[in-house]
Amino acid sequence: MTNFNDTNTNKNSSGNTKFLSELRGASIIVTIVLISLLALSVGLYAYMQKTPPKHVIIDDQMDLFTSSELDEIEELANDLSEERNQNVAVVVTDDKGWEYSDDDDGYQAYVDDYYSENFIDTPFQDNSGFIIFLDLTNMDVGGKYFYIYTYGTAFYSASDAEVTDIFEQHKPELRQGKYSSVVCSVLSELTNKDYDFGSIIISGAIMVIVPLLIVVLFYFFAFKPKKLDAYPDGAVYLNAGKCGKMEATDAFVNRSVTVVHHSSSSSGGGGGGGGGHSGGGGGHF
Amino acid sequence: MADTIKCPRCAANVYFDAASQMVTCGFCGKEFTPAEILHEVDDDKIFENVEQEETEAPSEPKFKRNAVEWEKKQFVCNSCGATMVTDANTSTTYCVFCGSPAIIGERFVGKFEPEFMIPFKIDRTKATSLFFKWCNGGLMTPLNFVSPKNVARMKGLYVPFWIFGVKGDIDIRGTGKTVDTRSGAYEDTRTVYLYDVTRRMSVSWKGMPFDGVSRIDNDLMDAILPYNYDEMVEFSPIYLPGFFSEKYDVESDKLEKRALNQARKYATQIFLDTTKEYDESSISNDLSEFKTDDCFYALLPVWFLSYKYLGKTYEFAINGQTGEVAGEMPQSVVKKVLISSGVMAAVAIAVKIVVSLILGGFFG
Repeated sequence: MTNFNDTNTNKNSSGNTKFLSELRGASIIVTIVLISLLALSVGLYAYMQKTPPKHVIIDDQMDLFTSSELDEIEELANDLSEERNQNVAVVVTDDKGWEYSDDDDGYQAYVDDYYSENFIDTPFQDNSGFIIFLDLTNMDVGGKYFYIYTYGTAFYSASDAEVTDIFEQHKPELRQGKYSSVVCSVLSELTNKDYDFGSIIISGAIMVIVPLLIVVLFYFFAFKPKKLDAYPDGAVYLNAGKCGKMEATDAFVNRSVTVVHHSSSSSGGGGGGGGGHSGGGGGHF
Repeated sequence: MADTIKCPRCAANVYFDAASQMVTCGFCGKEFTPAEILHEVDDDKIFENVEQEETEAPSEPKFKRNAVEWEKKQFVCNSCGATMVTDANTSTTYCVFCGSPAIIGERFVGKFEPEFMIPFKIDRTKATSLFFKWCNGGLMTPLNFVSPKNVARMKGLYVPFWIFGVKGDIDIRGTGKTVDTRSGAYEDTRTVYLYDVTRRMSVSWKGMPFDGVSRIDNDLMDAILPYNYDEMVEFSPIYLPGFFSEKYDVESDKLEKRALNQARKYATQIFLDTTKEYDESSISNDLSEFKTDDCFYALLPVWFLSYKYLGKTYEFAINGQTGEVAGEMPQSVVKKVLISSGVMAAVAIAVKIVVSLILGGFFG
């Protein structure tokens, strides 16, 4: 459509055709607010991408290990930490505290809390790591507890099934009281295990593809131009005084019936899957 | 010669004021009702210069713009004697030198004399506020779009419309289907009842308007309809000063097909409305016949605004009587990019948190 008159056209077209020119004017506050929010979001995302330094804790509350054993364990723990960029803790205790029960849930809650207190000091960042946990409160056969705890990307190094396998392999040694040997061996195995790079790539891709996909859909639907209203409804122009009476004829033609018989068997509902969390594996020995 | 309507008291130019519905003198400020002015100023007197003073451009220049050939003509301002150039269809404008309203009488005579018109009821201030409300104060538009400088370009135009009456007989045959579904312990039964449906009715529509200017987007005009014809008056140039106007360049017979097509759509809608008792209905044979039984030429008030952004011209129209606003709103690329980026960053953070929670720890 052509403009009716030059007085109605936007003479300042050279300015308007450059889209950055719209950053002038009183409503610049709106733009500043949007830029600030964007910068804040990007900053937060960048912060989340930052990896905090990892550290190693050897917490032998029972003085179970000799100093030479401790040196060896610490050296292997440092190797694992540096090699895999993970926090590493070796915890030996005979006193979890009254708040933790002497069952699997109690042991795992203790390790979970221990990890949170000692390693999760930078929220929203990569605080991944391992704990090799040994509870010797009950020294009876079958009363002692060994657990390999994984948090974050440590899961890619050792899945729950794999750490359970490691525990099962070392169960005879644990029963014989060769704790230092088992801890050293587990630390070495975790250092030398292959990462599940496929899962890392998939997780990374999800974090890139999903936001991109959502923003494309958002862009398409949120900024879709509104359609113009159609020509007014017929009732607006109906000249009711000159309209005749509606002659309606409705003749029945046929009837069709479809019957679907139910199957006699019935089935129960399946259980839902649980959400994931920090993993691990181990058990009594 | 382009004509103006002069104040009976001081001979200065008068304007029609949409807000007060009075004719106001721009110099002495005296207000007249349209009837008073008509009593003082004879229509024939207003158009006394018709066919006398109009001068064609000496070389009869023809310009080509966008492959549409159009003609410009020169007129002499009745107030200051300056030469004005208008395009071929402009019938009321302003003198660019003295600012006086200029009515080009020859474009209101003979077949171009409108029978009726609806005077502007929405003035510039009201139109501006309606426009701002419609575009949410420019929340998503380019910043310049809602600037006072841009909105000041809004122009009040009397648009030539052909107003049709259509009558005819609806005769539509089709099928109606009802579905009854019952679920039992051992079986589900779905019963479909099929009917032959016929709807017949003699019908008449009146006052269906279609704009007679080829340059105006039909969809844009459709979107600001309807007008309230209770306020329609016989055409008088008294209501023109202060606004622009155009004469039609599309003859009524060219628009007749649109009117008949619209009537057919209305008939289809009547069929569907009267077969709503069925779960599904469809038309198999439409034997309806329609014809136009009335057509007259009228000027209807529209406020227009155009805006050029990134090479595209956006057109807006506001019904000068009801205030209905229509148009495609330009969306700021800068704001769209900023909002989308913000959404992407927020979603990325959310996804990262969700994935991290699933895996039991945040990671890079």
